Amino acid sequence: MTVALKIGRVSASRNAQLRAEAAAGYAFVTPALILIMVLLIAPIVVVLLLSLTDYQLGALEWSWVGLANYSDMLGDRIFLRSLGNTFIYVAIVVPGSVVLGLLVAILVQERTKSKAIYQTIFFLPVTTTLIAMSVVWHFLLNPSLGPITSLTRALGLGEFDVFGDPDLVLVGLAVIGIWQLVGFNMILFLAGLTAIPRDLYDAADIDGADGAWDRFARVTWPMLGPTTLFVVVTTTITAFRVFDTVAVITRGNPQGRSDVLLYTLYKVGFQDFNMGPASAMTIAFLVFVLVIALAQAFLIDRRTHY
Amino acid sequence: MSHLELTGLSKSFGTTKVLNDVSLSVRNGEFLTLVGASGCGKSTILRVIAGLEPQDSGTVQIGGRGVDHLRPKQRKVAMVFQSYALYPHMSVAENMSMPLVMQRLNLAERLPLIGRLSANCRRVMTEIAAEVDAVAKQLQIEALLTRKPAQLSGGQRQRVALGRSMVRHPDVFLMDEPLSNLDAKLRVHMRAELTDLHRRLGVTFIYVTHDQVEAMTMSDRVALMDEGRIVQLGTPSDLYHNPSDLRVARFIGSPQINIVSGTTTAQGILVGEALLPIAVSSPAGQVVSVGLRPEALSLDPVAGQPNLAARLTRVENLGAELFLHFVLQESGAPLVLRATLQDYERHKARLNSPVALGVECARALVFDAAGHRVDQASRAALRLEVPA
Repeated sequence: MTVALKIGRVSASRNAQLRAEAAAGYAFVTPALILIMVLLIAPIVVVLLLSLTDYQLGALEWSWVGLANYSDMLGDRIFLRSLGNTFIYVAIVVPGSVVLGLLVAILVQERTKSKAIYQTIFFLPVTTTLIAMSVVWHFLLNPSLGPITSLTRALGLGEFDVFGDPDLVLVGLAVIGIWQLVGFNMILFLAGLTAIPRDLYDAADIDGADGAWDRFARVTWPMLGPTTLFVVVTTTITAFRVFDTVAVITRGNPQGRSDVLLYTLYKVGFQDFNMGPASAMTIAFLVFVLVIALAQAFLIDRRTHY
Repeated sequence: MSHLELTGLSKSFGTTKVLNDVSLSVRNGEFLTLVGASGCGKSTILRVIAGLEPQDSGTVQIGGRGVDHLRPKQRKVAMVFQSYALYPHMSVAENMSMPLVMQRLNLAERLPLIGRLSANCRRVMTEIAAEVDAVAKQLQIEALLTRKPAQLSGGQRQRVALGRSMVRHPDVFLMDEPLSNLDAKLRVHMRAELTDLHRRLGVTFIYVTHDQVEAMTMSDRVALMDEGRIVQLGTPSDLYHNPSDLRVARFIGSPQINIVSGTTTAQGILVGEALLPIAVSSPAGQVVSVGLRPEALSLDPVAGQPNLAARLTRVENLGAELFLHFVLQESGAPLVLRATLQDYERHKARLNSPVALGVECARALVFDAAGHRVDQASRAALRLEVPA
């Protein structure tokens, strides 16, 4: 009897202790949870709600329109064109900056004394403000004043109005995008290269994989799998967010051939003040980014880690 | 017949001299161990033999031909690395096939998918798979062929690394501390397996280790290295019983050899008040180090045997034998004595107070201040007295 009582008392006090611990745990988590809610989740929820309204920036009245903004968006020529342009831009920038970043990283890695200098030079574009550099590029490629045009003219290649030519404008913007991303990707690849054990190259030498191509194909490239995946994902997301160069240099011209998702979104939201459709586009943008991030987290991640 | 011949190898990294005029000749089929503390240059020798590191001067010959101008893959050597250096993205079978694939297929045939179109490539790949299977069977890893290295235990990875080196039937196996990443029990087991493998294959093994037990138990001959030079080259027994240098005496043997300091006199060596009648080639009045293996000391000196007064401090019981740790009464120098259980039991009662430890002078090793052995004369004489 007394024993049973004692056990009851012990377990009661044990329960009280567990409850206190749980309460303390929640207390510790709460500040972070509130911050995450307010800073990350709430804005998305607000945008989601806005996308279901016809709210105009500064308007006093608004009403729910359901999914009308989304159905309009899917039928909107400008939106679809800017989405297509964004994909083309991404399709040029991602392979370009990843391959160049890897190439530069491998070349720089093999330098001993000049490594730091080359690293700094290639990293410089990353540290600059893209808005300011867009002005510089605009001038460099200017069809009448630009030094690059003078050069092509002097070489007898004729004049290129890169940002005025509907077929060249996305390529021109993509080149600037690549120029800015190569340095960053180089740093990531350099970190990946440093992590490859020297022993593997020694083993490859002894096994006969001692040519430059074999070393790359049999050791370097497979060992860089996780790094490459990360670089591709970050580059894709960065390229998807292209805005600065378009806003400064082309403003979507010529003939809307350089309209990209974020620039169209900006025009709809902050020039036409149509917050409803702009929010719907924002959600579409978020969905794309989320899909890329999830693809990394669930699909490919498992296959490239050893 | 000398099979691997190193002549006057020197190598510096910056201002650090890692190899200093190393010459070594290894017999065909010999198991030779390079042993020494870390940084003594033993791994560098291996890398120079493999061709992974060019030497500054000196030559390497394998099977009578100079290989200095040859790339690693042309030297017919295989190497097992301390880290195993398995390709983590390849399965066990792919890892083991790698040397053969590189050897037998040309660049185009090695391309993924496209290479498979060639009939020759398919035929060679089948051959390679069969050879890999055969080696895997020998090493009892045939069940692991489809796994990735990350899914293997340390011992299994070790076998795969061995397998990769075996498929090419090299003339020389180079092993760079292959057992040091294994746990103690597995290491003892793999020691036996490696020795067995060496006997089966009958090829030359150059084995690098910092573990003197591995060197002693596995090798035909051992080269003890220090500061980029070979200090002594000999059989394990030679290095243990007849070290030419104090560094060798200290490095080989567990527990470590006892070193007590003494002074040479005309009659022998004076250690404290005890006179050890050992003839040395140094003049009288020199300070020398007397090396006494734990089994050269005894608990019950026979009549007339020189002895040292010492006090017991600690007993290490290993079951069949015991290590008794003493300190010398006079100098406080530590001494270890190897005793059987019966000996210990017999003398146990006495050991509470200082005792006289008998010194078997015939087994004493005397070194001068520079660490050179100076009692050779007496040893030579002793050898004549004792009939084999």
